[in-house]
Amino acid sequence: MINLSEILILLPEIIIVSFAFIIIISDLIFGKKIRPSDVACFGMLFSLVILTLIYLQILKVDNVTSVALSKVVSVDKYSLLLKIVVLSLSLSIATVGKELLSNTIKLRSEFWALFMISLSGMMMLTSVSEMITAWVALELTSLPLIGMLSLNKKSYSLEISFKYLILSATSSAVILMGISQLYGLSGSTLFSQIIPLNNALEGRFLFENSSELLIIFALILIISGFSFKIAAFPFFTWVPDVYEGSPSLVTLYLSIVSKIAGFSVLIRFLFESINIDIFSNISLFIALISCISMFYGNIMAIRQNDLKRLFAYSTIAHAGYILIGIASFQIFENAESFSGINSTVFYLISYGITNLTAFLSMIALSRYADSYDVNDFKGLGSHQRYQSIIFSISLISLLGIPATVGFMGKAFIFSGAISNDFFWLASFGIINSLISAYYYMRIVKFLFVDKNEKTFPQIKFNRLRFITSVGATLIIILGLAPFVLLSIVESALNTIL
Amino acid sequence: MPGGTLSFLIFFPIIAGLFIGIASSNKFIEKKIKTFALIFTFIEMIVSILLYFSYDKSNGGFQFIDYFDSWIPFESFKAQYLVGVDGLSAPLVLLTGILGFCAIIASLKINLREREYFMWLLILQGVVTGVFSSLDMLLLFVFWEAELIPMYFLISIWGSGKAHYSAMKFLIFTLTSGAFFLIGILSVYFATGTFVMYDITELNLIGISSSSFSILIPSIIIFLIFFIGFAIKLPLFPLHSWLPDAHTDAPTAVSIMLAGVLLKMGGYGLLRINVDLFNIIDPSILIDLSPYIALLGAISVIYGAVLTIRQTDLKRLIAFSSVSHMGYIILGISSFNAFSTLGSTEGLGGTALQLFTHGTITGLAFYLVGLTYERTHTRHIPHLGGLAIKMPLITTFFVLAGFASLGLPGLSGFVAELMIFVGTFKLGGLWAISTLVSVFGVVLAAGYTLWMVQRAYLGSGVSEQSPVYNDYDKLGDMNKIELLGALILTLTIVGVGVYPSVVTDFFNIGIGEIFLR
Repeated sequence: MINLSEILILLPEIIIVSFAFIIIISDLIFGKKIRPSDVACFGMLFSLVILTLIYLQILKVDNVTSVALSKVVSVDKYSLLLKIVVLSLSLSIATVGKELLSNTIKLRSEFWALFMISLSGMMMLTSVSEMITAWVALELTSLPLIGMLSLNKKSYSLEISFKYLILSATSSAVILMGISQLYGLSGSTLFSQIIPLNNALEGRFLFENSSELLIIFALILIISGFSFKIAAFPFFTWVPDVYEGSPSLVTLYLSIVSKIAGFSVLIRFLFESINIDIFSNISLFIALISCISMFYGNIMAIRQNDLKRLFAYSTIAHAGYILIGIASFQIFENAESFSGINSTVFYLISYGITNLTAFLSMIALSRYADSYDVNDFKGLGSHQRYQSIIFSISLISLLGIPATVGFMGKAFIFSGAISNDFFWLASFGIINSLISAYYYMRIVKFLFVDKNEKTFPQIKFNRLRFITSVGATLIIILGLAPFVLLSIVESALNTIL
Repeated sequence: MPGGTLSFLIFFPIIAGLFIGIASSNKFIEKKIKTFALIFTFIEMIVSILLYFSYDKSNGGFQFIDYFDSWIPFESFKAQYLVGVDGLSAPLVLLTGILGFCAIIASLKINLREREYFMWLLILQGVVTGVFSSLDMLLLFVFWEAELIPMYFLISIWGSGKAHYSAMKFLIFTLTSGAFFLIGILSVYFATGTFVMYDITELNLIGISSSSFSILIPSIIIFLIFFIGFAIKLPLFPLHSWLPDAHTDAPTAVSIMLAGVLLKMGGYGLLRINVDLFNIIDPSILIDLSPYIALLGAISVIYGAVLTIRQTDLKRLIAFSSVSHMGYIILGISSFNAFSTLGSTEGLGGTALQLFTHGTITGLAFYLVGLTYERTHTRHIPHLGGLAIKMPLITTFFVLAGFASLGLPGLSGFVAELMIFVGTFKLGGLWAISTLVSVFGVVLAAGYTLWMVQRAYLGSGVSEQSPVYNDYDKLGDMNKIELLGALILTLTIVGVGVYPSVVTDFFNIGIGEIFLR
């Protein structure tokens, strides 16, 4: 029986989905009089308000760690926090949508409807605690994205969306394979019931001779499948092409919101389902894909002149850093040691803020330079000083230099790794962030050091400037005083510990 | 001194820099940027001198402590804002204050993007002060890395020659050094559970102690990680290749800061962590390794000195001589076990003094090279000559800096080098051999310094092929404000040379406390 509090728990998602239909219907009724992006923004804002009220416990759900729909969805503080992050980042993206999407998109209202549907999938992803639902939510995010990619007016947009479609389908198949294997072994699809926490492998499983190896194989399949969403090895080949070919707004959405949602479900899945014995085997695999992602991303980014491609490789590298945190999750063993999970969630949120700021500033500056080629950014620092400073702050944060939130995130991630006996992984991560110094600082050099006599057009991006200013302020404030965000993350995580 | 003085020394230049950067869109302030920068750094210098002389030598220990405990209040990852100075760091804070002021004087002729220039220079000064006064390792690391951004811009925008290349090289090398440092402090943290370096009784803070040091990684590896990190920054042969490039292409003021205080960060780190902290954790590591460290130091001294002789660019020459002089620091550190065997600490005291004196001497040398270059527009030694006739004051000071650098008695360089040699020679064995080799570094130093002075400043005049030839008659000497900068530095050099205990008293307290902890 669905009762009222279960509806309240899912209200934010319900609002988002219903606004998807409102956008289409209002387009039919009012035509061009109403801008679909504004309707979308309104819907997200509405949903965000409801979410915040639930988070602050002003809108009382029975208790905050409630589960709905027979334990399939669990809405605790962790998922509420990540929902707020996902939603506010999407809201920022949609707010600047008007300024970014100038005439590059066909069928505006359909685009925004698809955006909202995909967003509802992202929000679901943060709170699912059952494998089939997780898979459905994952598809819910991917399928609208295929549509959004092909609505671009450029000629190669179909090629891009087809590329995305094929890899998305392959990764889904891989995940399904893993899920069915786990189900076959354990007889349950709930995260918490897949593998018993007390290491009592016998008797729990349907098959007497089910070995640990099979479970590990299934987990490897699932993690590999998720790597498509989080843009990490092995399913990362789509990233540069899709980023380069899709409209800026979709690129932004893919690189930030989609990634955070993917990571949030992966974190919950690993956290709730796996016991320590199995995790110690799996963590080596995660460490491996983390290394490959970091190294590949950073090495490939060095040679890029196209900023969108450069950022694509940089997000692959950052997925690698976050995976370091996930590989060092072993908090079950000993509560004293520094846990990877706090640092992972901290890094995830800080990455969201930093990358949003960097990406938006990059897009704004590219409008002045009229291309995404970094060579055309020469001398922009003296012409668009304010936006360039914000861009540089976010780049320095991505690189991880102190006084920015990026440094704090990296310090936490590496600490988690060292405290969990992943000394080599932390060292590798630090070496990789050294490599990244070259290409991030190169951009800063082009902006501020090089001179250019070219005249740049005068365009005003008011909303974008506002959002990036907020982002840059957050980067500095959280970099100097990380305890603000840390305490929030800690209290949120206490609910799923 | 009122509480918060040390925090004032750290954050005043940073805030002043940001003020210059932001507020100077105002027309009035924009015209007066240089005056403002001079006033700000003058205040900074005065406060640092006051702080230095109000350090209570009879009590010793860490003084002027500022503490804010909830910087990162993670239960399992706790770092705090904790600054304070002891006998080891107080003179270095003073040095930063003095050189910061002289660096501003040296950049009064800058007219390209002044706002940003003075902003970065002031921020740099604050950050370096932070490095010398942090007692929490994570805080130390934050300042350590934060110095990069100002330096990168200062070298690449206002530099000459291959400025972009040098700036990027500097960035990559320093980041590498920082990476080693970060791995080291995280390893120490997870072995001991604290970032605080020492027990600070008045705050009930418990620092790192040997009893709690247990980790799977052997502590010798952590030691080496720290050592390599600091050796890059120092720089020690064979990790020195960034230094000549960065120095040659940097503007004068940045060379002063780079040679004067940024290199000292490496030496300070070695003393603070590799000597001091590892004396608490496991003294046997340094005792076992110290003969090899002595050898490395000797190689660095001779290698640097030999390369210096061949240089034809004034700045590059002084840069290479820095490599040679930093070798003495490594040599001095190798005398660590002199205390346990002989009960003496001259070697380490000399090391600390060398940090201070090299800062002032090389600072003065770069300052004067900068003044010369402003007038002649070339630093190529064969193009110079006979400058003494036209710039007698610059030449006088330069000769004095050269003499101090080669260790003439009565000037500060002599005291430091003598202390190091005495400290290491006493130990016999490989230490004595390394010392004997290093003493020849002084001979070579006499060679390159005097030869350089003779070619560049003495003689009858420039050759006809030289680009200076046409302007030779118009060359002028230093003006009054430039004389002030030179006088301040000369005063410290002569003062410390004649009456060393004004600084060595502090260092003896600082070094003595290492063995008391």
